[in-house]
Amino acid sequence: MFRILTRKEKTIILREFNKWGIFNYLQDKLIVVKECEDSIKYLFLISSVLENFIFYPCTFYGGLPIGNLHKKKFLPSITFFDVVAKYSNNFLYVIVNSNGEKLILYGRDVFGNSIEYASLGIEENSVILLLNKSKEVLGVGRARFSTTKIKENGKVTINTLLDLGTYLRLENDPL
Amino acid sequence: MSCILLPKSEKSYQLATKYNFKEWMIARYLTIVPNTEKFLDYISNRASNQYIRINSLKIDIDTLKQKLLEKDFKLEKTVLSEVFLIKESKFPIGATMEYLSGYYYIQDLSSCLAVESLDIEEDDVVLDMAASPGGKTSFIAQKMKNRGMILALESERKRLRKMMFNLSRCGVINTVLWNLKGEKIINYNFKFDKVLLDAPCSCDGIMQKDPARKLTYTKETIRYCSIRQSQLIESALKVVKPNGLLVYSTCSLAPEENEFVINSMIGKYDITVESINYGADSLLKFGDKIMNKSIKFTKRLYPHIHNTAGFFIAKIRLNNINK
Repeated sequence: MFRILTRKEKTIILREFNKWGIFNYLQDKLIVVKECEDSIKYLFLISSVLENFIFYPCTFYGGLPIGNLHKKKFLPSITFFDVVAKYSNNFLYVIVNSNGEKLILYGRDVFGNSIEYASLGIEENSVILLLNKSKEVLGVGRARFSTTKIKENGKVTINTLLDLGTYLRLENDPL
Repeated sequence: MSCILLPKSEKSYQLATKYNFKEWMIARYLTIVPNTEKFLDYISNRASNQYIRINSLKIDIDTLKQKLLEKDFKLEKTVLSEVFLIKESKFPIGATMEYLSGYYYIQDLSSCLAVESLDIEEDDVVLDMAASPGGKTSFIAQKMKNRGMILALESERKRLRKMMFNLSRCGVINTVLWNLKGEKIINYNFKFDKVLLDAPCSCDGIMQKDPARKLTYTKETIRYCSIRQSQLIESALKVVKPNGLLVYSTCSLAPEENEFVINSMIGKYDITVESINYGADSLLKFGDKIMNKSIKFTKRLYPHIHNTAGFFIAKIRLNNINK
């Protein structure tokens, strides 16, 4: 069943939106929660028009799935990062070549020699967007090295956390 | 409605033997499908066409066309500006970065024509009654530019997650998905500007893509589907706003699932069957059954004539309150 966020949940999520520079994207929108048996809370961002249809027992999902809350931690989805790439100018990223692009879409990690550009300010363990040459989001990764060392040859320098192929790999899992 | 059987003939026997079909099916196709032998040859010996619909919620048409051309895709225009026939591709079209990014959706032209017939406006409230896997829903959202609202229904739980991913991938944010049988929508007090009922059917229109359907296609399937379709269309007509539109479609060639269903609603409801610009005229007679003249406005698509799946589309406007 869907419900609106509690105050505590709202604080956690708004902090994350703020951190990624997309706080303004929330204007006129509502975040709703679907609680499932696996104790994970699935989060959806909906426009006011959808409100009339969302709070029914038969609702499976609505609007934009932005991630989930697990033990007070917000785990964003790939669609959340799509919004970040589109509406924020405050995020760390790397641009990879076409070989890197293919590997990311298969959920593989990123080698230093696949990286064509790395934004300034990346540190070890930074969560960064993985973009292709057209600056389209391929996925999200965790940096193993800082900006200066991230292009190092022959080494995995970013661990892929989420990628566009997730859509295909998870589509038959239960929710 | 029971499946109507037509007399067998030497021709039906010959074609059934040549193309490995059940003879009763061929006897019907000889009446239903123009140039039947060409049809049988086409669906038996050619791979089905692959179409993509460019998703303008995520990318503009020219930019994606350019990207695909760079990957050596050969595209051909269709009657719809967003839809292209894939003439040649070096990669599987369901495994490109552009597909995963939701820049295009693999969808038959016939399905897109059903959505086109809904005359979608941006702020409409739309019901998609049998929505999975979400191709038509995402095209509706595209036409609405993610405004308005779509309520999508899918009764099979195992298909819901796939649909959610399809819609998310395509950047659709104006949709709520319910796990509900289409017939049950009348229990909720909602009315819709537009309703799409792409009804569950016997699917003989997609035998070219899935030849196994030759074996599973039975008279009982036709009977079962036509009953279900009549129930669904009645529910649909009860939730369309006055002056609202219902588009009914199937990928079946059986008149019992198409013309008969629409014909049975004329007179029972105050509706007008409106014309559709694309496709071949529907049947005004099948077996002993004579259809209302307005059935001529519904359309059929045939693989060997229109290069699509076998398909049926009816566009119905609710004139006033239900009788």
